[in-house]
Parts: sequence; structure tokens; C-alpha cells
Amino acid sequence: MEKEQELLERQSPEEEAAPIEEAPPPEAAPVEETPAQKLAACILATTREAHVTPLKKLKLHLPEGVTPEEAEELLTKAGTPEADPALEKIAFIRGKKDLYFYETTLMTAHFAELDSLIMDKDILRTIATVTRSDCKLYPRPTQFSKLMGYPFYFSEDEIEGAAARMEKLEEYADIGVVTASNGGKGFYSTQFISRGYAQGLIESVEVEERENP
Amino acid sequence: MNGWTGKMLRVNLTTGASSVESSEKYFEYIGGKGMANRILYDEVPAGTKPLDEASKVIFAAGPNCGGSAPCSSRTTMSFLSTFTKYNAICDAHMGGDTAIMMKYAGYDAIIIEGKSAKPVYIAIKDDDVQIKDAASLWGKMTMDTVAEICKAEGAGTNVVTIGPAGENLIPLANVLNNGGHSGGGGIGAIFGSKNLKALAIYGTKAVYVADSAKVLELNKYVLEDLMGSNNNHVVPTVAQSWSEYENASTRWTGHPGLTWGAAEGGPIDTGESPPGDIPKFGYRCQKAVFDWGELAEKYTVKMTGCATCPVRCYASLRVPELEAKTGVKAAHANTCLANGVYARNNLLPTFQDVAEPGDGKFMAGYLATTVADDLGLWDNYGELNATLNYFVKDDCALLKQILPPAEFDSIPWDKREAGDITFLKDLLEAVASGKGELSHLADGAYFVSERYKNLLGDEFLHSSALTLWGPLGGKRHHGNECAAQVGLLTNIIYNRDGMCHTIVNITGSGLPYDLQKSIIEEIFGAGALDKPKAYTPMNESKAKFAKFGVIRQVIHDSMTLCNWVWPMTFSPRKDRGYKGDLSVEAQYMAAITGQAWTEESLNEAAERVIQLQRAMTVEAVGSTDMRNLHDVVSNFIFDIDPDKKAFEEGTVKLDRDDWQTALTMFYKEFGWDETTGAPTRATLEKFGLKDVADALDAKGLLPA
Amino acid sequence: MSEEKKLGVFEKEYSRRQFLKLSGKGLAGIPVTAALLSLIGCTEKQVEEDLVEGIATPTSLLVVNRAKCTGCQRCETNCTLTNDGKAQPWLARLHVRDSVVFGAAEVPADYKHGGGFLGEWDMGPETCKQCADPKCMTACPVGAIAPDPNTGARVVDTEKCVGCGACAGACPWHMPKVDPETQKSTKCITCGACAAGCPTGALSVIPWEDVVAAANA
Repeated sequence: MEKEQELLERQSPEEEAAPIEEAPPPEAAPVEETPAQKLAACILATTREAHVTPLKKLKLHLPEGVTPEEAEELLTKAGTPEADPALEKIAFIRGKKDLYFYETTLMTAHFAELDSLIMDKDILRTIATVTRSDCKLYPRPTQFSKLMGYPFYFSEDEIEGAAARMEKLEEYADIGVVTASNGGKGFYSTQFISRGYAQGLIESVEVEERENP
Repeated sequence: MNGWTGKMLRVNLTTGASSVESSEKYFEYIGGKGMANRILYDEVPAGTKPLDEASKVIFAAGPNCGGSAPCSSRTTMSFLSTFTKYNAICDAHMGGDTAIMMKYAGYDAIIIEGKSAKPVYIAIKDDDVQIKDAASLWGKMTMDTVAEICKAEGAGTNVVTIGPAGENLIPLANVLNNGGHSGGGGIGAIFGSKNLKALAIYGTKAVYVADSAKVLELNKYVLEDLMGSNNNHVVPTVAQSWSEYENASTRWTGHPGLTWGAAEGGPIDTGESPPGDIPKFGYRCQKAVFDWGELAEKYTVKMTGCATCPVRCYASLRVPELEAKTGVKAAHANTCLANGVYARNNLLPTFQDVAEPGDGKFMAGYLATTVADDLGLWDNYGELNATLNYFVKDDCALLKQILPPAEFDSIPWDKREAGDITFLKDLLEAVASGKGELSHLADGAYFVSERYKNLLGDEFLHSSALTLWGPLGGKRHHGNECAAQVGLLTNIIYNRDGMCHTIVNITGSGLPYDLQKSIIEEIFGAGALDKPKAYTPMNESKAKFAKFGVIRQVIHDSMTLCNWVWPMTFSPRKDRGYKGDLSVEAQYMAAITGQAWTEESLNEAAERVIQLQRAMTVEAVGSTDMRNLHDVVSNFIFDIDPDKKAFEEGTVKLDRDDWQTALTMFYKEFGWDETTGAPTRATLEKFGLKDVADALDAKGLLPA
Repeated sequence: MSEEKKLGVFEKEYSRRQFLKLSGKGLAGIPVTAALLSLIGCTEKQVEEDLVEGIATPTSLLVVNRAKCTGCQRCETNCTLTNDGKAQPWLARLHVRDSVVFGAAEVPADYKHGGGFLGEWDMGPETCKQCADPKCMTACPVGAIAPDPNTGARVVDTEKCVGCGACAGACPWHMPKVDPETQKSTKCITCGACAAGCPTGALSVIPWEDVVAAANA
């Protein structure tokens, strides 16, 4: 307290006030942005929030002076040679229910795909896509705990339900579940790894890694 | 002088004299481990036992320490192992502030020798060195000791202290500084044997660097372009908008929605931490949830760690409910297996809740970690817990056979029955007391096995319950479960657990296997890196990769840098193709010392250190036959997963014949005799160790 | 932090008393808006409880946020490498090393419930306050401390400095040190090296134009 009091006394009001008393610098004459620039700015802002921008939602909240038709025409050309230069860094994922746009210097195609899957609200496809990718790339099973955390936030019941439903569907015939000795579960895809290998790997990631940190 | 201070301090506890000597003759061993190993070789005759008066402890830091490189405040301490067969040369590596304080006080190394007649501590303030009475400190716990010494020496003093375990000469006793930063290997018992309670250091001097602008530039480069999170994991655990990969196993746990929940003034979100964003760097490793699980988030005040380190791997928790319930003020960080180890397995079969349903195991682990650190009791990478469990399993079948009935009954088994977590406190205090038979379970697995040979046979040392790398008594630490033969080869070099993190930081980086493989094979050749749990037989690329692992570790322990994070084999940056930069250590050496260090010259100096250590180990073993007397690995490594064959998918099992091939190839890489694994005269002379070769020769310890 | 909590802070109206808190730390006349809190990366509670220090430098606002300090001490080595060409934390123009273990430069009686590594982790750097009426400057017998014509920071003219240490003695926080090798006083020149290398943003330097923009938002 004493220190603070001392400081208060020692601050010179003129000096402290100086920075904010200055008039804000006169803004340059505003240049009207093109519709493409406005759309790019919208998508960039959402990308910064770590989300893709669904086209349908964007059309409901369009920037001033941009029509839905204009938006659709400009945006669907993103990533093609005819794209407007302002949309050069904008790409999209073609989801099942919508097109999902993102800014490519801040967001990877991988994350955009995950977020699109989540926004499509198709849990089976989300789980199968992530599982196949994990098994092919790493290889590793997709732990239930991964699907319960950011950015998926599926509940355990939802995941168990999805596992049961996938068992009955031809398109997910490659997806199975393995359980580690601690009860931790993971999905695997026989397209990429065998059940025996998946079993060994779930034990690694659920149990053995924790024993050898 | 740049980098090194050029001086080392010698304190003789028998005479009470201290002196300052030049450290320059040891520069060809870099510093840190290299310097300390050579001093030990020069000054402690082979055959000395660790608790003899002639035994010494050498604290050393390297030329890079104090110069500001990220993760550069690690101290290497060299001494004779108290707890493994042969009592051979052993290093302990400790973080915290000790290393930088030693450098800023003006010393590359501190040699502690002799034995005091009464309890003392050594107080160092720059040039002022005093041996002070520690009668009032003897018997105190480590944290109270630090507080008492800091009251006398100043709150900013770095105190390295033993607890009751060291005083009681428990072979698994450690020293600690700044709370949970510990150095094991039994060094605490050596302190105790010398009546040395603590080392208190405060330094105000400079570490000079040849090119400060270059050092600052390298710091920026490492932080922005190369370094990931703890263990240099370069992929976050969960997807972040900037990341191409996510891997739930990594220590890059920070992400939007995960906080330091008990931060002063309210939770702080760890958020996204893209490569290049330095002010977000320290939020990558939310270590509390990694160590303790999700329920630890709300207790997390912040992360802390060693001086100079941006990673911050010490989960720093405030858990008032635990103190309210048990009276134990636990607010303590540790970094590795020590976290919660005593709550694993079966020392306590059930846990009473403390603050909420189901939190008993976390609370028990947290309490026991604090108690063990306060006692100065080392866990030996989980070996002490494994040993205690071995003796209490099957209704204490073995324990009942080794303890006299009165001692057995003095253990509060009713608390264990009730799941009262303070049982662990009582048990650890009894182990550290040095009284009774129970204390001998902290002799180290090898000596436990020897003491109870009739009961244990060969099974104990070779069992998967103990997971030792070998019957010598060192714990497997990133062995066969980490890159097959490669990991295990890094273990057999040492007279304790290997602690080599070069390899595991690659396999655990979080990058997909194919990407890891392409970068690693480019350096070491085809077949260097197997898929996880899909191993292949030994090959030369693996031998080179294993050697690299060890050599880098020695470079780090000698410069000094933290091998728990370094080297920068990979990078988190997509625009680098995730490739790191293995030349940075040499660049730091050059910028700091002003000498023309290169990756090659640094490798050569580090190999000199390993050749010396191997020669010292041959002397301790008293035979050239390292293959059969030292490098023997535990049976469980070949016998686990009985329904699987070695090299089958889904197992980390190795094959006995293939392992012998692995040893031969590894010996060849180091220029050792391929039959015995002992260093040859030609190899020793190649590294300027003619005197060492001559000494071995005189004892008949050079291979034919 | 949850989304809900964030919103709560953002919608809050700040009282005069609250803004005076920060004013006391050198932000006189600037309303503490939600945007300003977001810019300086702290919570309302931190302002309430005096846990965040804002120091007005001529060109920027230096924010010291203890909750984010993890005790790595990189600020001190970066300071001296930048300004002295050597690593010497003792000489640094901000101080943290003496308080990382106990959260204060003295060992508290009940240290286990105090700050720092042996307590409950609260700690943070003490920086030069950039006083409007600097005691170091007025105490200097040879007029060696004066405002830099370009940055406005008071700097030591090493030609004039005689290394007497009057500045260090006069400073209520003993921030300046006399380098025993050069016999010259060191004093913060607001170079920003400490903040630039801080891995958790416990120290941050925010240009005045951003502060003003956020205050008016």
C-alpha cells in the first residue's frame, strides 16, 4: 500500500495524461472494400476463433453490400485460378451438409476438415475419418478420450452408441474397437492395421506410456 | 574467459580447507559430466566404496550454462553409485538453479572431499566459502532445511540439501534444490556419510560470452523455429487450428479451454500456442493434467521449472483440501515418474476421498511425492515403489518373511486397510528412517536381491514387476519399449537408469511414423527406426542411431543442456518439413566460448567422455568381459507376451540372439572389442586417453 | 477460461475505484475497458486485487502479471546479455532471482503458505517503475542520469557516472546496480529485451497507441 501511495504521488499528471490527450491520428479517407475483400475479412475473423465458416451461416450474416448470390459465386471459386485475388488465401472443405471456408495461413486443411466434420454433426463419419487417418498415419488407435476432448467433445454415451451403430453398417465395416487392460478403449481400422496390432498399440498409449514417462 | 569460468572449487570436509584451482585442463571434456567424470577418475582410486572418506562428489556445469541458452541450468554430479552392482561411476542430473548459481559464483565445478567430524553445510557466496555448523539442521526435512539456510544466507540462495534419508545413509537417497529438483543415484547417502547436510550457493558474477548478439539470435531461433514442448514434443495433444497433426500422447497439452485453474486472480487459458509465438510458449505444457489427470486442472496455479527453461514442466499445484484432511502441506512439483509413483500398483489398494469422490489416488500420489522429496528419498525411476510392491503382494508374503514380527506389526496396516492415504507417509518415513529391516528395501534392487537371495532367487531382478534394464540394478528408462534395440542399447552404457532422452523424444515427438522415419533415415540410414511395436532385427543403422542417442546425451550433460528437451531433432514447423537442427549445440558452443566448435568436434569430445566412463566401468567390474558381466539385460525383455514372437506386430519383445548381434554392432561403433565390449588401447589413444589405456593395461584390463 | 466467464468480464462496467487501482500503477486517466483488459491479458479480479502492475514508459505500457510468471529468470539474462554483453542476472535491470524460492526477498515465517517454489508459487519480477520524479536521477551527484532525447527513458551517461551508487541507494526498490567491473550504474532504459523473451507474457510491452485504442473501445 505504501509503495502504491508513493507511486501515486510520484506520477506527474501531465506526463501520464499526455499519451491519451493526443487526438487520435486522422484516419485516411476510407476506401470502399470489394465484396471479395469483405468476405475474406469475415472468414479470417472466424478462422482466428479457430473455426471454419459454413457458407449457409455466412449467407445469413453477410457483410453490408454483399448479396447471397454474389457471395456464393465468389466463394465457390476459392482455390481455383478464377478466384478473386482477395480470396487467394481462402479455401474450403466440401462437407456433407455445407461448404466450410477458412483462411489458409492461419488454419491447416487438417483442422478445417475436423471442424467441418464436427459442424456436419455426423458422428459416425467423424469417428471413421479420424480413426482411418490415425491408423494410416501414425499408426495408432483413436482413443475414446481423444474424441471426448477438444475440439470434439463427444460424450462417452455418444461414442459407445456410435460404435454400436457402426458395427451394423457396411461403410464402416473396417472400424473396430480395442480395449486396454485399464479399460481405455480405442477405434481402429482394418484398412490400415490388424486387430492384434491395434490391441498392442492401445495397451501402449493407454497403459505402458504412463509407466515409462 | 568466455563460457567457462576457468575455476573450480575444492572443499575438504576433513580439514575444513577450501581452495580454488584452474579447471582449464578439463576443457577437452567440455564441462559438466565430462569434467566431473575425469576429476573422479583422477582423484578417486578404483575400488573405493561410495561411503568411504576417500570417496568424492563432484558438482559440475558446462560452458553453456549461465549463458542463457534455453534449458541450460542442469547440474551434473558424479560420484560412485551406492545402489548398483560394482558401485561404479554414476552421474546424477539435477535441474533447478544450482548450476547457474555455481557458474555465477565463479565455478565450473565444485569438488567435495573428505569427511566432517560433525554436521556441516557449505556456504558459498562468490569467493567467500565457509563450512558452517549444521547441528540444528540435522534431522530436518529438505524444505525446512532450505528455509532455515535461506534465513541465514539470503532468500535468493540456492540450497542443495539432503533429508533424513541421506543422513541415515539410505542408498536410494537424493539431494534436492528449489523444492522438487532432485539428483539421485545415491548421492544423498554420500552427503550423509560426509556429515554434509547442504550446499548453499549465491553468485553475483558474470558468465562471459564471446558473441552476445549471436547467443540472443540463437535463443530466438530455438524458441521460434525449433523447440516444441516438454521432451521436445512437437505436436499438440489435441488439434489446434494451426496444426497438421495431433497426438494424445505428447506433453504439448495446452489448448483452448484448458487452464491454469488456480492462478492468482482467476484461471488463465493455455490457448493455442503456434510455433513462433514466444509469449505463448510457456503455455504449451500444461503438465498438471499430463501428470495427474484432468482433476488437477483446478488446482493448477502455474507451471514452474528450472532457471533458463521456457518449457516449464513442473506442475505447480495448490491443494488446501489435502492439508486440511491430512495435515500434510503438499504444494510440490516434480517432473517425472516421481509424480504419484507410490499411489500406483498396490501399496494402497483403495484410497479414501479427500475433496471429491474419486480423488483419493491423485491426493495419495501428491502427498507421497511431497513426503518423499521432503525425506530426500529417491524413487529410482519407480524401482523403490516396484520393490515395496513386490514385498507386499500376496498379503505381504515376502515382507512377513523379512521383517521381525514386532517391526511388521509397527506398520499401521489398519490405515492401509481403510485406504487412509497417510499410510504412504508413514511407510516412506519408516523406509527413510534407516531403522529396521524395512529400510533395506531402499538399498537398490541389486542389493535387495543379494540380501534376500534365498527368498528371491534370480526371479526378482529379471522380472517385469521390476523392469530393470539389467540385473546390475539400473531401472529400464526408455529401453526396449522405445525404438527396440536402439533404446535398450542406450541403457547399458550406464551404471544406473540410462536417462537418455535423445531417442524417446524422437519416437514420442507426436509426428507420424513415416515422417519420423524419413528424417531419421536421412541421417542414420535405412532401417534405423522401427514402427512402434512392429520391430525388425538389428542392423547397422540402428547401432549408429543408438550411438547418436548416447553421444548427444553426453554433449548435453556436459555443456550443460537438458537432454529431456534437447536435441532439436524435429521442429514443430510445417515450413521446415518438421526437421529440426542438430548443429545448434555447436553453434552455441562457438558463440559462447569464441572457439571454433563444430558438430564433429563436439561429438568427438563427447565420445572421449564415454570412452573414459567405459574404461572406469571396466575398472570397477574388474574384468574386460563387459558383455557377460555388465551389459546383461533382464529376462523379461525376451520373455514378455509369451503368446507372441519377437518382431511380431503388437509386442516390444526382443530376441536373445539378435540382442547379442546388437551388442556386437554397438561395440563396433564405439571401437570397443567386439567380443567383450571393453575399450581397446587403439580406441582410447584415438581420444587422447593414453594414460587411461596404460592404467588399464597395468591391471590387465585391456582386451587381447 | 469458459466462454461464459469471458463474457462476464467483457460486459462488466468498471467503476472509478477499479480504474484508479490501475491508475495507481501508472495508468492515470485511462479508463479500464474490457478491451484494455483483453489487450493486457488480465482479469478484473487481478486488477481488483492489485496483482497486475502497469508501468508507463514514454513509448509504451509495461505490464507485469505475476500470475503468469513461472520463475524461469530468462528476463534477467536477456537483460544483461542485451545491455552488458554478458550474462549476469545479479546486475539485471529487473529483479526476480531473489524472490523465486519464497516469493519475496525475505523468507516468510510460514514459508509453506508463502510464495515461490517452496510455497504456493506466487512470484514475479520487480521492474523499474519509470518514475515521473525519479529518485535515482535526483540523487545522482554528477547529473549522469537524464532523459534520452529519443526514447524519453532516463538513462545513465556512462561518461559522467562515477559509480558511487547513490542512485541504487535512493531508489525505493534498489533497482539500479553498480557493475563492479565497469564501476558504472545500470538502469533500465526500456529496451524491452526482458519482455521480448518472456515465454509466458508475464512481462509485456504494449505501445501507447494500442492502449489508447483499447481504452477508447
